[in-house]
Amino acid sequence: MSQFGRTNRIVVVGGSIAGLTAARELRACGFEGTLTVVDRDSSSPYRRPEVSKRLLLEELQDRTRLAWPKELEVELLVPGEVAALDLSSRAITVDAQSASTILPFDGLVIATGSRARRLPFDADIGNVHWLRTAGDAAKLRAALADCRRLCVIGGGLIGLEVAALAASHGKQVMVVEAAPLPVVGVLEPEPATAHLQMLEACGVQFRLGANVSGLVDAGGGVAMVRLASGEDIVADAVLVAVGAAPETGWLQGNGLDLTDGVLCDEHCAVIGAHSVVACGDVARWFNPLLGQRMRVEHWANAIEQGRHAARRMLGLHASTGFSSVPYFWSDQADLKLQMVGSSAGHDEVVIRERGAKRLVVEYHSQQGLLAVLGVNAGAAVMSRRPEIVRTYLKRTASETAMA
Amino acid sequence: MAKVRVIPELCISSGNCVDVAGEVFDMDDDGLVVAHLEDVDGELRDRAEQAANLCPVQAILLED
Repeated sequence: MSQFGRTNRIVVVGGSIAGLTAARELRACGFEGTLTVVDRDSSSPYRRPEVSKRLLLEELQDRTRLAWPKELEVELLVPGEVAALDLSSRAITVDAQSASTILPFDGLVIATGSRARRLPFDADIGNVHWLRTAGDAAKLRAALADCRRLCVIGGGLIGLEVAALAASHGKQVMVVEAAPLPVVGVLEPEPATAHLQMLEACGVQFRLGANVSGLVDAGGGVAMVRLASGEDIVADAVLVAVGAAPETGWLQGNGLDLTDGVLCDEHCAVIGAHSVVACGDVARWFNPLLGQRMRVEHWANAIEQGRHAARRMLGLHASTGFSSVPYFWSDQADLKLQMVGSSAGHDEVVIRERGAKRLVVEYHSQQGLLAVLGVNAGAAVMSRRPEIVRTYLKRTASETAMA
Repeated sequence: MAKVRVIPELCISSGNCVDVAGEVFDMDDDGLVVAHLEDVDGELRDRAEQAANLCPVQAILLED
């Protein structure tokens, strides 16, 4: 606590779950100085995973919002757009309410998350949507209400959640995916095929191994999705769900490594800066448990990493670093996917259970179990977490021994 | 004997707690965790602890 007395200021940029968690942890650990939070979205914080789920069915309500607890005594600069960081003078420039303010800080928490990736060609047509914020969800919700045919570009988790939800509400849904199978990079071919079949049974149609060559303005602000094969997918609404990119533009010009997120050490401290930490989607840190640098775009990671980053700022962190077992879940109509661990480096995939709406898959390596995927099988997945941790610990130990 | 504490605002409705300890945990109308029991002992305590371990976001705490 020595470097952060009562009068010092820590600025948290990004007021979603990673920033909220970091702010709470800073106070919980006894930080008594000024705590300022800047966020461009005045609806923040809310349960962002609901952007592709509940918020497509209903407005943002209290049950989806998260509050800044009063006892946190946070100074909120919302909506505030951070234009730039100047590390040499230790200040950020914030554009809020049409005025530009320079905000000095003693400590900085980078929690700006990520934004939806764009398509490489013009998509400025009325019925083309992206999904990242509650505002995006509200627009798509309105479009879905009048829509008969939805085309989703991208068969990742977000795209599949929207596709399954829309299909379960009686829409005709076509998912266009460049890979031969949806989420195949995460699930591997055999489980991805099983999952594909479950989605098809929900009524979702697919064009796989298909590239989009352009969006065609069919008049009246309605786009058709043109495939490289020459096929046109006619749709009343189009969702572009081709992944997310870390929000690092404001960090440029400070000599930081911004290759796929801001580079951090194993404690989430930004490399090349003093008293600057990062957490959530924007942080690429060295995960000691997996022995590799990674960036994770999932809710549970943002919470755990927000805690660790805050403790690092105050010098109260665990000396072992932020060791994290990857975890995600995805609700696709009545299919609840969960995966713990990472399939990277596996040499065997074992399908343990397979039913009409149930799947349990294990990913093994020589050293042991690396990951478990489940569809509607939460306990069967999470109960294997300790075993997965043991494998990673064994692997890290043997790599250290060899080094 | 342990006290059960849940933090609904972290809950992601994974349903894992209800799967393993349905006597202790339930989901409210919004799918968020609620605890039926304040104190647990014996087998129920074991199951509640298992639920806490299964929760992917640490929304369940057992306090001695």
